[in-house]
Amino acid sequence: MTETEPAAAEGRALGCGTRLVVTLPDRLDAARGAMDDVLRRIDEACSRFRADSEISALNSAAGKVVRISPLLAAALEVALRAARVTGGAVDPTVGSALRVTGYDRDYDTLPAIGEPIRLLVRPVPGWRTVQLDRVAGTAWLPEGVELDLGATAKAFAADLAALSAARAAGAGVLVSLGGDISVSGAPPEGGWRIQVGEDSSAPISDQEETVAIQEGGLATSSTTVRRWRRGAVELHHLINPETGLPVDGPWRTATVAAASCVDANTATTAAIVLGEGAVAWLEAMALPARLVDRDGAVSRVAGWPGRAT
Amino acid sequence: MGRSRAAEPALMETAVTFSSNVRGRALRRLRRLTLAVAGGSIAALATAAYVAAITIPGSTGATRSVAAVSSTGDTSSSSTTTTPSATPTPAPTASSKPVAVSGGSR
Repeated sequence: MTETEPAAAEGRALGCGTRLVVTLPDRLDAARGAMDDVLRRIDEACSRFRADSEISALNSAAGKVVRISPLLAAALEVALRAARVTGGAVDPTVGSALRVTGYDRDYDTLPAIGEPIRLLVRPVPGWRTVQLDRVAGTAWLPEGVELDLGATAKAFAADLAALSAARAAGAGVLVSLGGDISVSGAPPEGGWRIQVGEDSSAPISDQEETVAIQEGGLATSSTTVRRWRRGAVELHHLINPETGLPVDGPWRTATVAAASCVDANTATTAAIVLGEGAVAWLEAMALPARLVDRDGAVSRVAGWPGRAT
Repeated sequence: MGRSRAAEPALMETAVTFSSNVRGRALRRLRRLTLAVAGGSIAALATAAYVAAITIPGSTGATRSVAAVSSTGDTSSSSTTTTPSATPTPAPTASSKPVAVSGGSR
């Protein structure tokens, strides 16, 4: 615990805004150095939008056994675990589906409006088609399968970055990557206060719904922010593996607190995909969640606290 | 492709099966991974984080708690998660602003 005001720094990495908060202000630089190192390595390993990344090499070598780094192997295992525990609702083989919908480059450079595109209802290949041998350090994809680790790699990066930064700084650290948050080390008094909304770029305000966590992670997935239009069709980045198309369900935004940012983000993505089944699944998993429906109505699930007044 | 939906028994059975063996498997994996990665601070960190993250959501009672914070910093209405083996966290008492925003990625 500390009585000093935390220090914060903002930036961009992995195609999203970043925010680093450190309980001891004089340790900010040390924490930032450690965080930046992790994010750079994750980008090199996991970015689908970099031609020189490991994941791009793996995708382009489908049908062949490819040697991969321990870091990509860990990220891929996290992605496959997310698929397993969500019954396939969070599936890393959505890469080609995302590309077909037009999400084929960093979102910062993605045209907001474009010509009509042809979309087909077609299930994604499925996570069980991916072969990972962590001991040998190899992975294999069938031909035609493209991985996108976006649903989990950013959260994984947040967990790694928070852990690394807290160690480097010897202080409590919060890392937010596009609103997916991981905390590590001793929290500030009262816990890490996090404003919950639908857009991670919203200004911090003491008038919005706020929760506090002591450890672990908190993540939000939303269909309302990363959107683009092709012809007359509005698209977004959360793919339903059963259709290969952007989810068209009852929830537009889901926020979850969990033991790690990876778990939280896995659950938020699953909640959007599962739709009507999300509440039962979140309650079965005992994951506190805040769901926002198409009309903006908020449901609080599995112990998510009511809004304080 | 073996996908199932939330309320279906298949998913629940999967989760229960996974949770019952999670610790032993995590430790076995850790031993293998330690040999496999053999150096590299980020890789080692990834290994540690992976083992930490293997606590499947909710299945071990390790769910995190969240507490509501009022606009004035008053936490009298805060609440916490009460899963069977989760330990409720103390209610926040400070009155400072939020330090971060969780929302859709921008």
